[in-house]
Amino acid sequence: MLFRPNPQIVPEGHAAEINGARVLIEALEAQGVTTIFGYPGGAIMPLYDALPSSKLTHILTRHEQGAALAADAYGRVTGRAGVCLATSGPGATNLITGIGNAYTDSVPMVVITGQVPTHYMGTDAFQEADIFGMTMSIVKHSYIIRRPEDIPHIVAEAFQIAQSGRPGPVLIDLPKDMSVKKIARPVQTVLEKPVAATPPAAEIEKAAKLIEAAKKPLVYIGGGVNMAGAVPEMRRFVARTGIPAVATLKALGTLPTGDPQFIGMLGMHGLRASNMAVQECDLLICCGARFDDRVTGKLNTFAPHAKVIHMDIDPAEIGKLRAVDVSLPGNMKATLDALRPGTLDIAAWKERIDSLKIEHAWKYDAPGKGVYAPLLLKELSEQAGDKLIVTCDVGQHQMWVAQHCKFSRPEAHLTSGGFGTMGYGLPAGIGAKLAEPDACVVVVSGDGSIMMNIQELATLKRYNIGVKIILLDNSALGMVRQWQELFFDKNYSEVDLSDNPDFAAVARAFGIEAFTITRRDEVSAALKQLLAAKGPVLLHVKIDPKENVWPLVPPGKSNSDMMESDMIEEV
Amino acid sequence: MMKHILKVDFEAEEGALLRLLGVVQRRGFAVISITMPESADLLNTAHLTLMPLQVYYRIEVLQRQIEKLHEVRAVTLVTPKPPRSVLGFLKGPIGSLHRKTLIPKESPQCSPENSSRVS
Repeated sequence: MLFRPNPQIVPEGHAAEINGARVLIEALEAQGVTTIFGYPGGAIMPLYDALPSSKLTHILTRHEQGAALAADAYGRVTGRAGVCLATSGPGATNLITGIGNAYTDSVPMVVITGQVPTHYMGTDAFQEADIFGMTMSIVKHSYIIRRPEDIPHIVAEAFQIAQSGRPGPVLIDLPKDMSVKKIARPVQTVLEKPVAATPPAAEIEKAAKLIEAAKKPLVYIGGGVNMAGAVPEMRRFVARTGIPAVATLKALGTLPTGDPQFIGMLGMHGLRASNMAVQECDLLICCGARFDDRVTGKLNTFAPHAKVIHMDIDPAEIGKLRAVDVSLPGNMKATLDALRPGTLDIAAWKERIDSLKIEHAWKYDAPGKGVYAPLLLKELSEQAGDKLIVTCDVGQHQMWVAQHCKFSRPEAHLTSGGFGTMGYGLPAGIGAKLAEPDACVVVVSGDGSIMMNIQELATLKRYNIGVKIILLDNSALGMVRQWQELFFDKNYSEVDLSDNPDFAAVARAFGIEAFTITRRDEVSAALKQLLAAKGPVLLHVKIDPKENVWPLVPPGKSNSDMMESDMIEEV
Repeated sequence: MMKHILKVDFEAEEGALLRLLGVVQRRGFAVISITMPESADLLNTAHLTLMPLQVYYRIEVLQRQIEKLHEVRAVTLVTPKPPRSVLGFLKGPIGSLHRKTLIPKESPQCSPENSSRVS
């Protein structure tokens, strides 16, 4: 199959010839790219040859997965596609987890992979991998460069696709012969981001009527609100209607944690008050969310009394898992501003929500003198304030961050939501700090997750990136251990990490300042020291290996069946 | 389970057919047959006869998933009259197994015609 010729490319008559690699670098510059993350190797060498004379800042990670995850976080913070590159074969396959992470969480990303020359493709050549085929299920779109003349249009289109509609990763596979072949310097192209259509006014009016008729309406906020740039519109909508709201893991910060109408995170490890509100509501206004299983628990018991209004940029999400009463696909900014119901009769419902919030507020009175992670995280966000960006790994610490940190904007909380990628936190911290140098970027990791991408400590050191790391060490794969305790008859299988290395010593070996605490009374001073550090720093925190994340909706159960530490209670 | 026929118009970009079939497979549908005549221009048309692997997988959801593909121009849900397979995907032992386990004995029911165009 042929790629369509691009009519916008008009080679300049006598312009100097440049090779495909330089064309691609210039195409990235034309898209406004300034920072890229990558790792060199054989098939991508022409691109690396063109890099030093470019305007791009290249961050050399120590593993391609680190490059992809850093680009993911860069994309989340800036709202523009993060860019990562790697060579063919193992370099390309090492990116795959990062691409999958970006796809599942709808993060804009452009991935560039080297490839063996076109005449070697399909011959099992050295370091050949069909990355185009392998990634098909985790990209929005992908290309193989077959003519260097196509590069400007393909790159422009890749950025447009990655950043428009429901964002996601786009892959460009660059065979080596295409990157060395010389052509007349082409004109670069930048494609405008299309504006999503607004749903018909009649449908918006129908939604307004449903809201007016509801006695117990609830807004269910997903990550799509921020992806649509609709945070101000959402805040205005909630403020003018007075409707209470819950948020998914990815949407924390869309409403500030302290907003009186915000209840908390819903779902498997959500605030009990949030899940009770969902179970009791008679109208669910779902905005940029997708009824994920970690949110809904047993799907047919989720929000059982509720009619549903669903707004999303992706029409395929509407009605996918839950039938809706009003569907509002398209432009969420415009939809939220246009959605103006009349007077609502929800005073009793708001009182009910307030009492639920008081009754089920987090408690921080855990006994003992050991460090209590939830309290440490609460204090972290209080000390760091609005400049804080937390990047998480995956596991118990991730849920504690979501439950106990305070966020004033969605970008303040970067977490691997849909994919659950252990090893996300550290490279994401790098990407976030480079995207927003003034932010106070804190990686919160666990002793399992940190080892997945520990090599990126070298990246922190090399570029002196002022990322702060809090390593909550319970000497175990804590979340798996918790599930084995609760759902596998305490048959603990391969979760013991009590032979962990001395993490502070490991960090120091990379040239990074590090210190360890073990007691609760050390926490405040340690956080002050951490936040005051100028360069990269690691705080190693020993915590109780038996601590669990509560509450918890058991897998396959209804959100009404939340477990607490004293085991099953009915909501 | 009910069989469905989707008519998919898509641009002949590299990997387009693989991408299309990948979505069908991942979203829980078995390809019973596929026809795709040679096209003189850069627009291909494939007729796919599909069967959900679970009763609750809905063809309308799959249709919207396919419409999201960059190279897809239009997806139409047509009355299910199974076209003759020209690619022979289901011939041989694997195909026989699929036919045996997936295709019900009764005739396929008709679905309401539903057409949409990718904007």
